Amino acid sequence: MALKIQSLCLGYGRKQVLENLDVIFQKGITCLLGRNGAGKSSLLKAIFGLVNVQGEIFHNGKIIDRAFIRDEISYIPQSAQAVSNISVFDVVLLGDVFSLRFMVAEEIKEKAKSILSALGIRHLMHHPVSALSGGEKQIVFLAQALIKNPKVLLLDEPASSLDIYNQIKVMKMLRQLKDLIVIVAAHDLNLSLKFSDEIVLLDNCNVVYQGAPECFDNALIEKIYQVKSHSICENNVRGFLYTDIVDESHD
Amino acid sequence: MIKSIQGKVFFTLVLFLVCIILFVADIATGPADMGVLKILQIVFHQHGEGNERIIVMGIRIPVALMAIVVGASLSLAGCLLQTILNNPMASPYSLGISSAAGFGAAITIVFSFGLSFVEKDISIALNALLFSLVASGVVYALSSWKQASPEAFILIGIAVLFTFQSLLSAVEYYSSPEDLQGITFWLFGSLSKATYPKIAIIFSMFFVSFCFVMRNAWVLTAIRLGEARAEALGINLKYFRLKIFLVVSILTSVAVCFVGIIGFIGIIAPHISRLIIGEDHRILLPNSAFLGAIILLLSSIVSKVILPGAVFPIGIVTAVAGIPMFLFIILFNRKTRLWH
Repeated sequence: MALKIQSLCLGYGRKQVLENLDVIFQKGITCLLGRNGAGKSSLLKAIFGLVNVQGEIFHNGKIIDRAFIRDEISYIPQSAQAVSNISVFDVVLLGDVFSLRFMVAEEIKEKAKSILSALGIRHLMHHPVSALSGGEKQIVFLAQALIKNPKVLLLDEPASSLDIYNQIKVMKMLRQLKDLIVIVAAHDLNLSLKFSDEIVLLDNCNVVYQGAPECFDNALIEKIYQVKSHSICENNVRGFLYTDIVDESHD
Repeated sequence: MIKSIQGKVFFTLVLFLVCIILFVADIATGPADMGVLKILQIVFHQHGEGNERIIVMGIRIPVALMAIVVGASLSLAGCLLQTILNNPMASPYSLGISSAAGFGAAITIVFSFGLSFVEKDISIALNALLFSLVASGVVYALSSWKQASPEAFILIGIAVLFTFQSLLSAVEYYSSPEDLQGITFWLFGSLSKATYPKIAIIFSMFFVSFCFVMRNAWVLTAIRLGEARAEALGINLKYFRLKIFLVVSILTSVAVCFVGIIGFIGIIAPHISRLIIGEDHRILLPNSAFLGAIILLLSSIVSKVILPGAVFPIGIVTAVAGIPMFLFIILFNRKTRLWH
């Protein structure tokens, strides 16, 4: 099971965001890293068909079409803003909005309840989503994305506005998902390295690194992010401590 | 806000009952003193003198029915616009549909153009309909041409609103005092020219629109999660917005062309419903339709009571009575946030 992207080009006006991009996403969590404006969000939107692109996207060798996107790909956009007083249960149901009839089928309801239980937020079912904390909202939207049993899950900075407890909680939940291609656009290197199976690094409209998180090093960080860093390793847990920017004239 | 779905359905049924009670009360109100019993006798047993029968069957029942269908149509239209444009200020009036109808009516009154073989009353309605459809068409065309964002959509509507308002002023400037009076009365809004065919036309339009939007109730609810989230659910927002706008513009144009400009129902009724029901459009849409009908029935009763022997323009009543209620709800409602 893999999602293959072949010679993908995307531009807004004159600005080219992605150019002849080739990449294959395997089952498991892939973290999409890169600086602001490197095209992480754009790549997710391109896969979900929200922006017009040139190039091809295949799933298991077949070109993906509108129907495949609607039925098999879930996308969670950035930030939890603009949520109204719809109940958590209804928000989760909306994940499969095109299958909903006026009277919601019992099986969809049961499925929503079981997902809410699995993610540990069943007790919030009748609360309006606007009353939840940022972490809880993010989990609700994860539940929403899972209700249609997608094959591909796209998340745009799911942990960016969360405290460290909730960041780890959300990432651990993603880890529990089996048989799914999960692509996460992220900024937090340490979090990404800890929870991902693979890292894809975008820079200058293309992929500059793809590989295991273990191979990620200071030199790469310095090259892409223009930031000096120390790597720390204790009990087999690796992380980076950023110390300075390389050269301000570059910025 | 009512939380359980049973509670929401129950509240909507209560509104339906209130609607029926006010319908009877509206029929019973008027210069010729007739009690509820008498009216029921006239309607069901064909009793009563000739005149009383004419008053009830020919005037009062059509006016009350008109209040229901127009109130429900305008309120449903407002509710839909606020949802698809994600803006609490959107209404058929603020997008220029009503002012275009006013302009259409005014030029028919002043220049008497219209079809020679129909009554002037009908010519006015037809022209009002024509111009409100033109206005909607302009908003629709410009918005779809540039794939307008909700904000741009509203601004285009406001541009159309001001265009037709100034055109209307120009017509008023050139009109004789008698015509000016006619225009003013049309703009006030009135249910008094209600007839069964007109009611049937508005009702059938309402019924078709209502069935259509109820089929899309879940998508409308999803839109209230915000534009980015709705798109992430696979909804083609731009296309859907235009589709609903088309329904709304026909619905309002048909209602407004027969009764003139009855402002504010399209804003106030949906807001109150949203506050009580929340965002589940399966219940919100019928609820705000009932509430719109109730508010217009109440206004109709007040407009008959306020000046004994005469009918005060209903458009004025809805605005004057509606605004304090509206402000009260907005300002003193801290528990549930009305709009995000």
